[in-house]
Amino acid sequence: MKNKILSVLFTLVILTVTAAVPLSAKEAGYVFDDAGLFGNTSSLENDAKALSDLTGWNIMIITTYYADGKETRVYAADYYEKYYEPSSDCVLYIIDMDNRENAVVCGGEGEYWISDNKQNEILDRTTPLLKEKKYDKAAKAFLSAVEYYYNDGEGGTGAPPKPFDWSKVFVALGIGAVVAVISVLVVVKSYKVLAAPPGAVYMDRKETEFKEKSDVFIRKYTTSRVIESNSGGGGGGHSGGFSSSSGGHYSGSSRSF
Amino acid sequence: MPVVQYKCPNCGGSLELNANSHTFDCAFCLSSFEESQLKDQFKSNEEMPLNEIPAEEQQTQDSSDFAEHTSLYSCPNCGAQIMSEDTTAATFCYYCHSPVILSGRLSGEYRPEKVIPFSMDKESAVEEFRKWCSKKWFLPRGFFSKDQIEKLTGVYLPYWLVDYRADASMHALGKRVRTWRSGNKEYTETQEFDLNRRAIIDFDNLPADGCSKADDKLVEAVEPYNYSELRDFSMAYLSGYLAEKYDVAKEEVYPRIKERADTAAMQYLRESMVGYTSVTPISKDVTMLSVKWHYTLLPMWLMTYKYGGKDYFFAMNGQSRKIAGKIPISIGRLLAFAGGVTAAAGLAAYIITAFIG
Repeated sequence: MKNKILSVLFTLVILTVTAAVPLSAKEAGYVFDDAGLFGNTSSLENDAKALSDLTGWNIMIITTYYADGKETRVYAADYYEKYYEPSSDCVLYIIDMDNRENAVVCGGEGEYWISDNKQNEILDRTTPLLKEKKYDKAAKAFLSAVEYYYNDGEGGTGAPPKPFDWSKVFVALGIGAVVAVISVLVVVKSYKVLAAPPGAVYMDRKETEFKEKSDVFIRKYTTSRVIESNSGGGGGGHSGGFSSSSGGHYSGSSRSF
Repeated sequence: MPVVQYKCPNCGGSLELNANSHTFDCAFCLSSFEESQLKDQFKSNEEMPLNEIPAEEQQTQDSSDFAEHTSLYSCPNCGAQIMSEDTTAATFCYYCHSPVILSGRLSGEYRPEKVIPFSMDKESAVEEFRKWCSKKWFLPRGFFSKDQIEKLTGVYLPYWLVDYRADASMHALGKRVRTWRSGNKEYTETQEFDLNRRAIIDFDNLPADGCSKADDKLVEAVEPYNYSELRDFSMAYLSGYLAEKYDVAKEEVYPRIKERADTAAMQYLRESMVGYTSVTPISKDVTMLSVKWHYTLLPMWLMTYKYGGKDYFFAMNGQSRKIAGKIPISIGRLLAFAGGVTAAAGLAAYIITAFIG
């Protein structure tokens, strides 16, 4: 009986201790697919873990349908701070279906390695994929770009290689096919040499005489219209430093999709 | 109906027109004669009444065993039976290959008024044909094979040449438009003019073929002929070539002639309305004042070819060497070309988009 009481007390102590310490992200994973956009998260988990091990930064990929009324970058930073100290070394990627934005958020050392320009370069790659609902590919593109920038060094100026875009191949093939069809039509037409010379060839211009040739002015009128000037429009998104709800400092860029 | 041959006064061999020199050459003793030298013989042939034709040269037509439009003749040279269609005016004996002229087909209303003699012999025609084919990469090989080239045939086709005088008029609205800008406004000034043109227009020797077997578009496409080389018709010019008599009367070709002349007349009047931004015809009219017909034979090299179940045609002006035709295309070569173009253009497009993007 005494042993049983000690066993229950020991279990209670353990539970109390573990409940008091927040669940670390590394235990929870690296991918937080709250919106259920990814088909299979295990591959992303592995890649994110490998990147985190390589860089020593906290890597987090978040998806959500409810941003709690927050701006995308702030939501990502607040989400991060559930598991880590504010402003610690991190690079986050979020797909926010509520605001229809994706964003890259960097904290600590990540801010220095992944500058605003580089964040926007990442978004250049991920945003078109999101428009095509290729969420897994967008997340992978984020991971591979961060890995490239890390390997390129803190002040590196290179750009990660773009993933092979098959749509460009199909567009090029389509253009090629159109050119081929036009060329074939030209060839086929050139193999029908059936153009007769105009009847004017047989006209005796020396004998031809005009009996009447008059150009009589009838009237003149003028109309006018206002020239409309064109003004261009810009796209949405944010870029630069910001603070999380708790006051942590981050840099981040977001873009609509 | 008489059958005549032009025989060499020296050896009695058949004489054929030399297209290059326009003399009449004997292939057996290699004699050559000017038209004037053989005038008497030509005259006797061409003016020979039917009842004076020697018995051995009389037609032995027997139409009872043949289709309605087929006739039989005896070759004056070897006596073989020659079958011809009822529009054929000159042909060859299938056995001795002697040129034969069915003079009865060219008498009365069917006697041509003028002729332009061939100015190139078969050798030159074949050379031109080969040269032309060498530039056509998509031609199937069979089109210019030796057997096919043998089918290239010199034919005198019957034509109606028409002297056509027309009274043509056109009434149109001409507009001159000027545009300029001032501030944020664009101004357009339009001046309108009432345009009237009327002209008496002459066409000389406007041609239309009078052969129902000929493809009108094909034979029109090898025009024009140089009419300064028109000569008074003589059957001797047909010796060594095929010839057809007309089977499309002038009344039937008149609409084609009129349409061609009217179109050219309107174009001529329209071209005289210069200096306008736009010209919109309001009314136009062409009245025929006079028309004069000349039944003429014009020289042409023709060849037909069957490919993929379809008939294709090649024609060459027997005087100017101008070529026309609807010729076959090798599907295999065309597909190879299309594939190559797709790959090359696609690669170029990909490189450009990759460079820009």
